[in-house]
Amino acid sequence: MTKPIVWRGAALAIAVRFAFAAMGVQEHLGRRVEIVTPLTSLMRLAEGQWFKQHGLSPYAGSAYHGSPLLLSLLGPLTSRGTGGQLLAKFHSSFFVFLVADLLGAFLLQKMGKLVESAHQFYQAELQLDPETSKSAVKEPRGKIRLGIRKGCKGKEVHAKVGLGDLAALSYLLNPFTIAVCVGGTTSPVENLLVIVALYGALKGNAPLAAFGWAMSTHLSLYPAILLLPISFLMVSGSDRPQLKVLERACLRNASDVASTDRRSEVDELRSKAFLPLQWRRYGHFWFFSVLWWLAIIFLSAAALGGHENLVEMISETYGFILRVDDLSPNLGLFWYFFTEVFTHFREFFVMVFHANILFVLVPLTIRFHHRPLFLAYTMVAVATMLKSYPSDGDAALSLGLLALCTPVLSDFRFSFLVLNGYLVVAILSPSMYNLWIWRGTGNANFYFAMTLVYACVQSILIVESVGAVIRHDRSLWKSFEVRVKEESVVKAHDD
Amino acid sequence: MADERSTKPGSKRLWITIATILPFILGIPLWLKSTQVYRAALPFKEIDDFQTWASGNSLKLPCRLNIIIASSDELLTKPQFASVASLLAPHLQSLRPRDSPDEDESCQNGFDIQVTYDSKKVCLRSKEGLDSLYWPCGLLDYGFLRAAHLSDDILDNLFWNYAYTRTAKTNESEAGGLYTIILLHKSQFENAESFNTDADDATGTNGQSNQHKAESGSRTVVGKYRHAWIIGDLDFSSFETEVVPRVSEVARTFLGGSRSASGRSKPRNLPLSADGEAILSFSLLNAEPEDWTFDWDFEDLKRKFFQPVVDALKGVARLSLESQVLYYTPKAVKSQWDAAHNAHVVPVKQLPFFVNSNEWHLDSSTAATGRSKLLHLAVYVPGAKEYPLHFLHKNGKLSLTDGFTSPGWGGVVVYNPKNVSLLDGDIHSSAHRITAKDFESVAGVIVAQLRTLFGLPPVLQDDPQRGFFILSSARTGFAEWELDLLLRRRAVSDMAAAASTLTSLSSLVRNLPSMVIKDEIGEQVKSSLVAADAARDHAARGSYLHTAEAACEASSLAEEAFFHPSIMSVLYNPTEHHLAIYTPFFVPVLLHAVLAVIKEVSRYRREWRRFKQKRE
Repeated sequence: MTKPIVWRGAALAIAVRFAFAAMGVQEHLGRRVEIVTPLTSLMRLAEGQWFKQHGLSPYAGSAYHGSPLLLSLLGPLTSRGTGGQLLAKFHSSFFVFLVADLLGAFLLQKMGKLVESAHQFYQAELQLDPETSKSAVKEPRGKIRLGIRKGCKGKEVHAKVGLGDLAALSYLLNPFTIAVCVGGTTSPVENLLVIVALYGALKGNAPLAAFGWAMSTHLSLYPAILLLPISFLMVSGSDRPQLKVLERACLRNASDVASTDRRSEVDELRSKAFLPLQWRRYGHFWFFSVLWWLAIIFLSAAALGGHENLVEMISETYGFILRVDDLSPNLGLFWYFFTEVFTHFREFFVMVFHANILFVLVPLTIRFHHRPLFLAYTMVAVATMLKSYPSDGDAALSLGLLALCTPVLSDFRFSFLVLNGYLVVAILSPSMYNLWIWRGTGNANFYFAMTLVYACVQSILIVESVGAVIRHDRSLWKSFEVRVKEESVVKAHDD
Repeated sequence: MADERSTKPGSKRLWITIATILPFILGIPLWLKSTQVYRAALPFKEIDDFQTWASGNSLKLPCRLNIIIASSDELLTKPQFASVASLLAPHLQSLRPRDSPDEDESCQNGFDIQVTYDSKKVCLRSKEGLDSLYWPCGLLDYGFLRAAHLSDDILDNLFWNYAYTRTAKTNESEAGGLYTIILLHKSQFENAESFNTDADDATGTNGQSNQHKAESGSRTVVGKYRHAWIIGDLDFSSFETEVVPRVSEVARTFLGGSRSASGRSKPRNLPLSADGEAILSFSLLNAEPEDWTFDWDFEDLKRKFFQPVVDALKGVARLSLESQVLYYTPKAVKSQWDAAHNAHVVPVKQLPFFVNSNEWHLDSSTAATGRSKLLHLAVYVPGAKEYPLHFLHKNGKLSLTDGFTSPGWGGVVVYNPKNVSLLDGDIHSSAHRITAKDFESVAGVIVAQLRTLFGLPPVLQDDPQRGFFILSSARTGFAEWELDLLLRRRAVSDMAAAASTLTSLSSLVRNLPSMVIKDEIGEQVKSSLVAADAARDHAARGSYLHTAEAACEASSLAEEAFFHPSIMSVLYNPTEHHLAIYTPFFVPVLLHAVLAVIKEVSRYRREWRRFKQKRE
């Protein structure tokens, strides 16, 4: 069953990308610090390829800082870029990125479907009817509100615009995704691999999940933290309400039964309601992770021409990310701070800045282990905000994942503020950069103010979405508490 | 009911807050490790020892005095000689340099003296066994000495030749501080009246050298090398009254330099950078290029006039030369026409304002960056409106040199081009070249200025009334005994500087416990101490060049350690700054985390109590 809205959206997305590429926008976008980072720059990749062709280490001259596998994949495309007049305007790896975006959107759509079905399953399990729990559960309404209503003619068509389509379209048509794809960065590939990992985990496909996780970690290091949500996805499946809510639901269902065999009844219901914990699958995931990692290491060594070059690779890719060697301005918070900090404290603050990402992991996991997909979103978003070389591509990924969580985000506030925040940053940060670097009438603070705004917008988004999910969970719990109380009162009255 | 709860309180919130605070606690060791102040071990004890040594005594080089009594006749008997020797020793041992009351410039333990009686038949020594003071007897048999018409200059070279060839003392670096005073009996020089007067004295400093003969009949000459000789009546009876004062005066000259012409006190420090280098920057200033412009072939002038000076001073200072020609460089003071002298004059008291720092771009040298010392030597060519330009002394006389120096900065000399009338014809032709011949007098003034800058009198002053003459080196401008003097001064000041710099460094390091001390600094301090020790060793052995070198190394290393960039940056990082460094991040984050933990723990305890109440 094809959904015209999705196809139309995808066609629009492709057309827009081609239009921008044909206009030669890549020349401009490829120089924007918001889009291109030292890690994802295609120009640096071409430099690395040039070194490689001349028998040198691709990391010579500190130009290229990406994976040797990516270099093997994209390098040949960059070296013979000059074709016809029109073709010259397309950077030759444009098609790779286009395919990566489309594939990512496709997987997001699939994930959306899975999430939606899981959601409906738990919805049924809780036996929520809109009349009794108006205030508490708003998912159906939320979906309608966020759905694209205008393009649809009737109610039936509208019902077909599912979560998957929404996520896919919001990823494909996101200006950030388009800019990153057209601008010539390797971010689309990295984003695709993260999506692959999450899709594999959601689907329960251990080799695929392990591949996505190992490859994305190899390419950009930060997806390593996704091990936690992937593990929960592998073991206990998709997002679901809290355990105690489900228990309460079982209790309510079992309340008709005599209280003596209540316990066994509950267990029975539970086993019906929840998927069993899939430890075996998880074991497979680990096995394949090790396998993929070994493959990556051997392939990298082969691409670099020797195991002895692996140390250099690690130092130039992961080391480069962790040491924050490149202090040229970007959207992140590192560069400004580390140009100012006393050298004596540099090491310490590098650790502190990286630890910022790490130390929210455990609390978030404790809180959201029952919603691994949302946990994955928060981790990606936190990494987007606090990584050393962030770009718009990371934001594109985190927004795409956020779209998957819309059923539980019905209580989201400040969406106007956040949207405008993104707009302000998108418009003002290039002009501030221009004022500082090219006009010389501003200074570094002008641009850094924009990156601060960007960080603020993102933190508002994260905090608010976390808050919305917590509120959602709590309202579920409350509604049951009220209902159970009511029922017990009714029962007492009957007795 | 309100105080009780039926279920166990949930611990999720508690665990979340604890999980937030835990990384901070786990991070403490990392924090301590990464911000640990690395301090290379500095040898504090050695520095203190060095300082206590330096505060008590200064680096003194030994001086040795060889007094030769040369006579062809039997002048002295053996006991007489012994008494003469014992007479000289106490007089000389306690000598102090004339101008400096403090002991800085004196020698180690005064003079080491040996008196030798060198006559045709006997060769007596007051002390046996001192190799360095060995004097080969038989001077009077040396053929040239008997030749007539000996000028002072030739005689000087003769003595040097004699001592140099006979003693086979080839090691030049060991020769420092070994002075020889030769006492000659007048009777050898019957024809003393016919001493040649045209000494080839290019700088003209010794122009009137031998015009007047000593009234007293005796004559003292201090040579260019480390020799002096006294020609007089060597009579045993008059020895104490006649000879001993003269000998001690010569010795004093060797020790502290000749009497300064103007009586001005010497500058304490040589105008050198810490590592003993200086750049002599020669500038030819064409004040008014509209009238005439002058150019020079500096390489030629350098080879002729300045390279010998630089070579001579090699042990004392590493000098490098550079030159430039500047145009449109008017002086800053107005000159007046003085009809009496038929010249434009600038009164001497206005000279402090002569240098026009706005227009004279003397510091354009690239080598002038860093710690190297720059000495400006400016040759000022006045324009037609102020030609000829002279300086006017207070007493109404024109200055002979038309130059002045400024200590530590350099010197200025006015060059009035000769035969301007010839130039007038081709005013607008290409630049006129200053030939070496024209430049000769200016070069003499410049060398004299250099001597002043190095703390020596500009010219060596003779005292014909008392029959006291000092030869100056025509080529280099610095006599060897003067170089010894400079070396002594430099060694003393370098050692003192090294000691004070190291002491400052050690007290700085001890006062700032948060300061990072790199290994490099530790190494520099250690090498500096080693060099200082070496300097003391060399000084004890009397090796002037090595001592000065080692002392210079000590002070320059100490200086480098003190001004190490890593220290400079940490100087501005006091403990108060740590607060400023940590608060922006840790107060907002940590405060909330800690508050949350406290809140959650108290909440959990409260809830737990309620639960327990219910159970009971």
